[in-house]
Amino acid sequence: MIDVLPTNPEELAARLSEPGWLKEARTGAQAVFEAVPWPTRKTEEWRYAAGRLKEVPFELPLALPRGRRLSRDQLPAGVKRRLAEAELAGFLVFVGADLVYAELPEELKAKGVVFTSLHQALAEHPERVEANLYKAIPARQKGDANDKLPALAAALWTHGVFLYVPAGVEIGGPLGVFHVAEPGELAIGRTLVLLDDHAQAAYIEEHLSEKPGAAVHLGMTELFLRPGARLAHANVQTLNPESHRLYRQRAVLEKDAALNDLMVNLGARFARAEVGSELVGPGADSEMLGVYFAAGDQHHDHHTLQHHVAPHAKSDVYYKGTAKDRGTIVYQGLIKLEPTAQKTDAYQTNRNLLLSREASVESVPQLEIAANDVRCSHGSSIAPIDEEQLFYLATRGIGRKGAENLLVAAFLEDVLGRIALKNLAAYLARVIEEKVRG
Amino acid sequence: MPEDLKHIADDYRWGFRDEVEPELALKGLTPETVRKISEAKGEPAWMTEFRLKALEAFFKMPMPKWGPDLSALEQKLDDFYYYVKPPSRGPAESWEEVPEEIKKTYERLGIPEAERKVLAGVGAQYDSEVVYHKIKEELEKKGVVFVSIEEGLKEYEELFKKYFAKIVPPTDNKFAALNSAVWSGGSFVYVPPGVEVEVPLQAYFRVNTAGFGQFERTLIIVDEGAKVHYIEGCTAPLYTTEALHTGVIEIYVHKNAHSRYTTIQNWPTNMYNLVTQRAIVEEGGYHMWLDGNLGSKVTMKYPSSILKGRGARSEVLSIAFAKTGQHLDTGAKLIHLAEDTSGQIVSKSISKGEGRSSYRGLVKVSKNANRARANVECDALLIDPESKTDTYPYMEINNETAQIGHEATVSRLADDQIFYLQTRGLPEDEAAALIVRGFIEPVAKELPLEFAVELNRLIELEMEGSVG
Amino acid sequence: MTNRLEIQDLWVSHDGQMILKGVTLTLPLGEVHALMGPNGAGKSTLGKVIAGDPTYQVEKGRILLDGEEITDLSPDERARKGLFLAFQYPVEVPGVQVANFLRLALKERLGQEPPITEFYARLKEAIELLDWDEAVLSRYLNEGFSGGEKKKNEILQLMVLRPRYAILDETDSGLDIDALKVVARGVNSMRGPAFSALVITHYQRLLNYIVPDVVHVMMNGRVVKTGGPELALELEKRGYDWLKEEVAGA
Repeated sequence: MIDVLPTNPEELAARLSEPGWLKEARTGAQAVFEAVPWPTRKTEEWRYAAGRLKEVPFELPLALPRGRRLSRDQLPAGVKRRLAEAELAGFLVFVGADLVYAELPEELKAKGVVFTSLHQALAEHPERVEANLYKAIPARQKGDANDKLPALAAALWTHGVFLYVPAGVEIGGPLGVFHVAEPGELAIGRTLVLLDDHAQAAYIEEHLSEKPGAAVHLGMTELFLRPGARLAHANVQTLNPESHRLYRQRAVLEKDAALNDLMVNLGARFARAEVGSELVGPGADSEMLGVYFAAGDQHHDHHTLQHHVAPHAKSDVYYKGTAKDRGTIVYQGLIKLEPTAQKTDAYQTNRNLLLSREASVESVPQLEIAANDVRCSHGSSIAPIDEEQLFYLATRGIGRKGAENLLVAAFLEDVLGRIALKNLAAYLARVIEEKVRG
Repeated sequence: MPEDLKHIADDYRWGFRDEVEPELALKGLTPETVRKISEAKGEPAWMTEFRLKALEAFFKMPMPKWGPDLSALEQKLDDFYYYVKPPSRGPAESWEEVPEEIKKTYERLGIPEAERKVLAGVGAQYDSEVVYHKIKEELEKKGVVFVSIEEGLKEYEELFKKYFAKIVPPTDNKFAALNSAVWSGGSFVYVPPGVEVEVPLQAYFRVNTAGFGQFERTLIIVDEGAKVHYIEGCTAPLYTTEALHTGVIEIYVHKNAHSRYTTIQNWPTNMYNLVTQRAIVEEGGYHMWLDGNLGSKVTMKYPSSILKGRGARSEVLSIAFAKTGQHLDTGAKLIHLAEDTSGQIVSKSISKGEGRSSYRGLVKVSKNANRARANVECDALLIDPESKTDTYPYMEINNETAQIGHEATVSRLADDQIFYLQTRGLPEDEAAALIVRGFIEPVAKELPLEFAVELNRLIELEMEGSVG
Repeated sequence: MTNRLEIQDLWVSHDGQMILKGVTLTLPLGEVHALMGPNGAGKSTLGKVIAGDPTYQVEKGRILLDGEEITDLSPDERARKGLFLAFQYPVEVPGVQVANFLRLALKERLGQEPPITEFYARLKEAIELLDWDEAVLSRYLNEGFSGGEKKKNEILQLMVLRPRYAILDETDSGLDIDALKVVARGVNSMRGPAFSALVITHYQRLLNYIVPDVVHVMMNGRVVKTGGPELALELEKRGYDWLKEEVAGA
């Protein structure tokens, strides 16, 4: 773990030709980073992940943009495979910190949709970026260990995505972003999504590795949904098993805005995802789904936050996953209702299936309720694969592997069924099947 | 009597206070205080040593950084009385021997009446000293020991030493350390193999000195195949200064033994109630914690069962009722260490006014605990818009054959339920009280009759004029 | 003679929408009236408003019980004066045993603790008449009850509390024919000079078993026609459309 920033944020801002306000924000974040401690086992939110955090090689060199561009034919094979089946309306491809390829139909551009790199947006839409960047995930929130990574990310991010959908514009097909990790680098990225009033979009961000070798990816995603906006959002990581991935996401939902969110952790050695929704407008609806599968020595760590500020809003977390080999899975979730959040419907469900003796799971679903006219519940369960079902399938000639695959698929069936992006759900079902068999 | 012992407030139900001058009152937390306590009790040297070590541990340990706010308590730890010896002639064997003043107090508490009904023996604690104690002859004949913790140390030192602080070591948590240093009063129970105690053993506690913290210590050993139900009720007069209660309860449930520990605390609302309750359950044994928390300013109490032997079982049933000015942080822990162990936690909490009730629990399944099963059910009922509730259940599962479930719901007093009951002629607040009683019924039905009656009366009182 | 339940020009709104638009209806003690009408006519609203449901707003008009105005009384005060509403959707109250609940309600109704022997006699009689098992008494109020059991439980309460004016809100809906007969038997056992019922129903079916003295028809928030039992049969045969036309033409 590092105690001082490996790169000077002012120099970085200069190198990336950034405006003054951003340079100041970076140096402000540097001060936070240096002031707050690293999370330890005693940091409540990190009690099950502090050990893994220690192993993350933050000392790897920071991935910097090198001006690489690729033609569509030159795109990495993994990306091309996904493109063939993903039916995307437009997409961006990053290799390391470089945006190497971008595609967006003229028709969407004409409607005012902006889908580009964050630095490009800084040049072309500076006021929109300045008004929103860091607003959902500031460098400093409580001034404790939980700020360490957001501060690091705020000070040293080198690349990112900007999506803006103007009021009333509906995009239809999903937009995709592929991040191909480069081994031996520390990559720090940001995503900023702005949906204006009654805009609609679907956005998928995938993180994958083309080559073996340890890499670190630190990512922060800020989603702003103005009144009546609807967003289907997915973040999928299938990084190689030496990688480390640290991710935080905050969505801000205004009146009647609706989010269908999906967090998928299948790869990496250590993957931590903190996914939160702030329901600040009445009628807002946040559906938050999660799918994970830890095998080998993988550790998948999930934190959800449903923060209800406005009345008459709804949120529903459904995280489901499984662990085999020595895999460990963690779910910690919080429904927090402010006194102003009367008439809230908030639910939280976490279900875990353990496939092997060495696998383990920690589940901590939490409620903090300060309003009384509400409907809130949470449930959590941990269960083994049903031996009776295995036996039944065996008597029908289905071997252990096949039966396990069938039962894992059945276990995940309902959460995959709730994913708004059907095409993506089918892809995930396939990856999961490979993982059970592997 | 020092001036600060003379505060009294009258509006609390048990808020009468007796004009009894204490013989000895020790204030402040120092090794000197600890030595004096040990000396006053005529303890063996090992216990004095134990206490002093515990005090050291207490000073070294930080205050808990989670849960309710204890900063006000931290400021005044030196202002409490850690030992108060009342001017009685020591343990009395019969009701007649109890001093008149004290008798009056007990009569107001309803103890003799309760005794006539169901009590097997009464270990009534008056401040730190047990002044009245009785065990039915047949229990004595069976070899059942039910004495004050001090007497337990004196008369059964070997047995005492074998179990004391083995289940809750002083270093377990800061307040267990405090209790270990200054403990005073409590019960010592031993039930020999195969003996079934049919009637519940009850002890009544009463804190009677302003600023005086009560540090009772109870040790219950249920030998192989034995059976016992121990009941503790807590109530204290209201004082103008804040008070502290820090108890440690240790229970050892041997092979195939069956035990139950029931407690309802109704401390006044300026009491910090920080209690450690833990049971170890051996093969085939069963233990139930039945826990009611109504009073206190702050309660932190998480009865735990360590399921050590194969097939050991435990249930934890709890009720909490938090009103304005109260933060009741309660819960349960089930630690599964062996195969085929099973547990059940049912927690019902009610928050009224600005009251806050929190459930904090842990279900842990170790590597070897094949086929462990546990179920947790937490239901919270919120009466007013300002009422608060939290749920913090931890599940740490290291065995793939475990089946663990947790469900929690938060609901409010529903208008349609109230209307329905009103159309049958029940006034609105009675309808509300009935719904609240129904809400806690699954736990309340396990309570001894007189506790259940008292609880119902209290809920009715609390719900009067609370809706509309 | 003031022994009657009277609704006078009652206007009622809910969430800003006017649902009852001038209902006038009189139910003399000792009679059984049926209140029929198409869905959305306001029948159930009328039942709930008579019982004092606070979610409805009385804009105009009065409700009188034996000549005394009860429009502003709380639901429990009305109940203690002898009014009873059998709910269309009885509410579940977990943890509250049926017997204990009935004892409390009867105590409120009588103004004193009911003599235990009489209380159990009433319970026993009602349970036998309803072909039920005493086990129901220790179950929690409506919790886990089937739809039919809930309806039966409403009649059980009716029989034990013995109100003078009962409103049965679609007690027949969702019942099979056997259950319907049992429910009707319970209601009929109450009939006499000191008991009245307003039977709200969508179908004529129930009225084969609880034969009404008078039939009222509601449409669009008002009572549009009143007649004898034959009116129910006519509605069963011809539906409500002819009546709609008749009302529109008038």
